[in-house]
Amino acid sequence: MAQARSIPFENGYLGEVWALRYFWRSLVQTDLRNRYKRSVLGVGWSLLHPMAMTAVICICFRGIFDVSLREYVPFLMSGMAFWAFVAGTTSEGCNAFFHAHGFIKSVRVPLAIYPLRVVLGTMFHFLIVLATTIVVCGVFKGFDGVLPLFSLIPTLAILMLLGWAVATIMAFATVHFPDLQHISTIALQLLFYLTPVIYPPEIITSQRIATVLKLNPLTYLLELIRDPVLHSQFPSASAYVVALLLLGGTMLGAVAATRRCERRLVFALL
Amino acid sequence: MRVNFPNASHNRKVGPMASISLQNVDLDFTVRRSHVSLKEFFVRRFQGKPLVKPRVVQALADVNLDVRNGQRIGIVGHNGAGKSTLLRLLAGVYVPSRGDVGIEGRVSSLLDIGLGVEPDATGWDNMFYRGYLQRQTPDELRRLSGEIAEFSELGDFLDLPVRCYSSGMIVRLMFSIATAIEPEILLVDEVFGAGDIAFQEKAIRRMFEMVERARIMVMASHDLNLVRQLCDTVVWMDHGRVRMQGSPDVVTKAYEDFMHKLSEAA
Repeated sequence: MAQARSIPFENGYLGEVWALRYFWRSLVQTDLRNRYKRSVLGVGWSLLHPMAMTAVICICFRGIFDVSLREYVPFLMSGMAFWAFVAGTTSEGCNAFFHAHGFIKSVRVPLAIYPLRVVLGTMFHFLIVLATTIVVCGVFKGFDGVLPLFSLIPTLAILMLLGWAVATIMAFATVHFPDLQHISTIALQLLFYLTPVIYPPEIITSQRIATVLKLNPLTYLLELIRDPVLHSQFPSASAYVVALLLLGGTMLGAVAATRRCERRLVFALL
Repeated sequence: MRVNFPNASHNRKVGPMASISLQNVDLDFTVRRSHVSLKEFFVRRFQGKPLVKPRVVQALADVNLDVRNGQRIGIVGHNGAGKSTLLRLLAGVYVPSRGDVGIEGRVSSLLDIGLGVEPDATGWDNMFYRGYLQRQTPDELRRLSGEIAEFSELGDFLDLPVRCYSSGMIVRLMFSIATAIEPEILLVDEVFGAGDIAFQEKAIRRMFEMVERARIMVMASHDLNLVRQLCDTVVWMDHGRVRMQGSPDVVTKAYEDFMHKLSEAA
């Protein structure tokens, strides 16, 4: 069937995404509002959740990891915030198209706006918790230098684009392989323990696991966040290199998936 | 295959000239018997065997259609004849498998009731979504929203989530939004049945007004009286093909006769 060729959009693909900015912005707003509808705490819940997790894990693991609370609480909070972003983007990304099937079947817009909607939502929560972590960190141990904190701005941009690309890939893949949604839940669980989210990487003594941590790109993404926030230092160049390579790879994947599958996606949703 | 959806904003500058042209358009639906599992996909890939052979359903076959500024097209046909598919093709939701599609003008569509609304969002929110999808800015919409609300006559119901609406209420809302900004091309799919008589009459009046300002309207309906009343050309679809095309009286008569014969034979 010779229908792989896609119809060009009026202002180019990204131009069209931009032209529809009010549309996806209002979808994100509604998502956030609906999530906390009728709850007393509202957005406070997205703050309370990682804090409660932090408290629970602190109580459970304090004896195991030989670190002071002063160090550990900000460490853990930054890890949990990051993980909530990774897990949320991946798992909600899987449903991005299913969730929007009504729009997809009735209007023609660049499909990338639906994963974008997902990542903007998870990014919003991430920013709240990250800001809290910075405050907690300031209270617990203070900052030696504020300048490194500005490195968070490019980091957030990288995470944003990375999340968009990952959500796009997951969204296309899940439409064709619905099992992926469940597989990704398990994979995320596994990845959670292979990423230094709750334990400091220094405590790992097993050479094999240390190698795995070194090969895991998420370790470097975490460094991009933790170095400026926890240690008041600029992230290493190697962390940036890994992050940008990862970003480049996933973006290529997302563009390829969009090119290949976008116009036929609606048939898969029928 | 060549498909053109030229720049809508560009068109607005040139003037409200709208046109639709379909040439030898085929549309195949590829239906997999079930979803392919990841394992199946890789195992088959590895063995070099093709995946479960997909079933191909031809939804549109060799459709030719030319619509000029100011024309009002009615599409009639039995269930499953391809009316809705044709409208979705015109809306740009489906790409043709073969053939050429040329559409000039900004399309506003009213296809399936309940599709293209967020059920959990309020009527107001949905009004804004649809408006943003029609490329309106928040300012423009705020100006229009009072008028849209008034035309829909939904009043306080607009504060409720759309999932609480009846289909007639959704039609009121969607129609009011879709016609609020004078679309250059309006696509309507068999939705009036859900609205009450008073709203139907009001909607029809508005459609007449719109068409007078030289816009294109394409509607699919089983209500032949409505079609005769609103349209100047009728297209009779039959199993994905255009069976007849011409003046409303002639085509609806032929269609009616055919349907009567069918029901007598049955």
